[in-house]
Amino acid sequence: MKRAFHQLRLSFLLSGFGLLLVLLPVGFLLLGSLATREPQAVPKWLLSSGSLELLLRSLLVAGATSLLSLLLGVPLALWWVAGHKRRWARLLLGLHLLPLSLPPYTVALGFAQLLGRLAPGAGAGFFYGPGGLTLVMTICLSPLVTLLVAAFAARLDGAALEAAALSRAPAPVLLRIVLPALLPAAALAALVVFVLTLGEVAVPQLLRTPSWAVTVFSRLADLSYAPAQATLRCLPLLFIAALVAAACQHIDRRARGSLGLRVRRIAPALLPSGLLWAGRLLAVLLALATVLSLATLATNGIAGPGGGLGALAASLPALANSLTYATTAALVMLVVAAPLGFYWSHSRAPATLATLPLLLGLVLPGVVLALGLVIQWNRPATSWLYGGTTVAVLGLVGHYLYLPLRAAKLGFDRFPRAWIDAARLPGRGPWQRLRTIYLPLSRRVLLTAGLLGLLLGLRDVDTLIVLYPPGGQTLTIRTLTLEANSPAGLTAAAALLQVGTTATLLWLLAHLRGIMEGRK
Amino acid sequence: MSIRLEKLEIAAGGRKLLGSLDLSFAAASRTAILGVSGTGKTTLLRTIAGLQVAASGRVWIDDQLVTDGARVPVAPHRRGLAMVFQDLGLWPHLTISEHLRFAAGPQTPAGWLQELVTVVGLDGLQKRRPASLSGGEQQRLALIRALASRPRRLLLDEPFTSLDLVLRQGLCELVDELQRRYGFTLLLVTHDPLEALRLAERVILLGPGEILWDGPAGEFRSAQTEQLADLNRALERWTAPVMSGRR
Repeated sequence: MKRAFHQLRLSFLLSGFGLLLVLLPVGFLLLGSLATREPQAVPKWLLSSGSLELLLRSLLVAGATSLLSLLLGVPLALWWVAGHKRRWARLLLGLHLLPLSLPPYTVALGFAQLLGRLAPGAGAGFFYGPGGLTLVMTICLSPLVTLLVAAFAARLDGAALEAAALSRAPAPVLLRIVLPALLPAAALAALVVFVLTLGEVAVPQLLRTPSWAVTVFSRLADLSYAPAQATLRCLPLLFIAALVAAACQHIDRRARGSLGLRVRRIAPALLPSGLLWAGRLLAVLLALATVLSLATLATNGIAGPGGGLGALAASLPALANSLTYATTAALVMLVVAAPLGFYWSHSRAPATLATLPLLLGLVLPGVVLALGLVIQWNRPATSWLYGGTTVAVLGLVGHYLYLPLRAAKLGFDRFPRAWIDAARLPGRGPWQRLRTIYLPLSRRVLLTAGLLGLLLGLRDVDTLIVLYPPGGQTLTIRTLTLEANSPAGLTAAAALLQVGTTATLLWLLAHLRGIMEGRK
Repeated sequence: MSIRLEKLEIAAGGRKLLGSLDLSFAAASRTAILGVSGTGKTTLLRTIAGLQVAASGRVWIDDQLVTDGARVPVAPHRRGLAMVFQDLGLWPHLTISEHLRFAAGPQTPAGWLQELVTVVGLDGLQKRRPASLSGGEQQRLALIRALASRPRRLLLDEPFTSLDLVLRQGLCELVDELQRRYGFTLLLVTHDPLEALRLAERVILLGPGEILWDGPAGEFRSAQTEQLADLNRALERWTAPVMSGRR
């Protein structure tokens, strides 16, 4: 009875946050689309050849990015898990993973400045088109595949792999045992890459490539402000995001069932040597791509036209705004994610349906969720919320809460049940248990969830570009704005500040986790 | 000789476990390797299988050099052996039939795989995946998966540890029957003396870094070493209730 009550409370809380942060804005968005002046024109417009072509083109780019990310990420993940712990290998992997924590726009800007906006035919034609968009998004999002597949591969049952290695050569073992076992993780990562690419607004704008998400945003820009049309354009994205969220949830459930119990690195001899060589080569290539892009930004930001210390200093107020939104959102996410993650981890029944709205919030393009929030809150009675930074924080929390929540749940999953039971037996009060036992044991989980929230808030463009209040421009949005009409050095300096802040946070995360592990 | 170890030294995690082993295992023989935890029983088995390299020394199978120190001239799947793991290592996404087909390879006739399924009593369950099998059925699947490729050597790494006494007894009898029927060389690693005596004709007792006893199973009880005495006492404790029907 008591367990059922706990389960009910968990589901109520999870779905309550999902309802408040995601479903209500989506509901307002749908209502807004119904209230357009010419409802009969909607199906006609959606089915027009121009619309369908643009949608198809956006889907193709997203699909190609997912496929390419899988082709790069899976060998890299296996190379990583096969025990490559040398310093240079870790450096290569670090450089490959770094773009994931940056706005893809930053990486694209580095390449754009490197190519010097050359005319088509001189090598830049490919870059300023669907090919360049696919390439940039692959460099930025393939680390997601690498991370998820590596985390999954490291938990594969070592005995199952060795049993296969005793029967067959490494190639069939890879094809029949390793890859099918990694399929849930790879599919999950590919789906997330797909929706993130589909919802990307900033990179297609820089590369002047038509994209469906950009048409939503462009209807909200000052000169062609037409929120009703933007709302209509959100519908296909909303539909796709809902499908992807349901698919992610389904795959996630299957993935947990097929994991082994032991965490063991895969012995290199169990994998085809060609695959490991491919992984090594890809690590070098992707690290090189990151270095090329970021080195260009560094060169231009420091010594380029309009660059230098003055340019860096000019972007500091925007950085302060970024940090304010991201820190506030991260704190809110932490306060929600820590207790809910704990409950979720220790509840027997899966909280599948209850977490679905929050997952939808993650896979929904930021610009769509933000538009829902605009329709929901932009009214005189709620100007206290809409007029300030609160709506921006609300947007960030609704868009990203699922990830810190999931990170907290995974962290708490590692807590032996006995820790909790042993803390309850001596009869100390809940506050003392929290202070003496739970919080010290949860430091790593809280740090990871909090910094993850902070990083996501810092890298956000798509949500904040719709929701930031006047005068509250963030660093990512400043970079985007500067790129259109400022010297390359000034723009690069702003992007460089973004890279520096992110790198510092990542270093802090690794360092603090290291200290905590050392203390243990 | 089916398997020969020549001055084999094995280590795990930088720690030397066993030094300079010279052992031979005749074809179709049954040997149990006994010892307490941490003596290197499993590591020895994994080294013979080629899943782990040796610190030094050689492993020969059918007079072919298969492991030479840190070098592995013959890959695990070319050694004509199979292994049943302590954790079983079943593949969660494959059915029983698919397990057997993968392990056996494309040339193996379907009749042989069907025979194995019938012998261990898994008929009718061929389309099931491991998650839907009971503990005993999973154990039997692990056993026939190992036999699917008709290995001439079968390595068992504490395969019955997690089972209750009745299941354990039944599976010991099954392994005994399978070995008699198919004539493979059996190498069993266990810490249960009763299991060793049931299945093996030769017992090797490993102590820290060395072999404490190597001889016929029949003489095992009367041997006088300190650790063996401990094991014998444990054996008495295990066998007495079983023999008197109280367990």
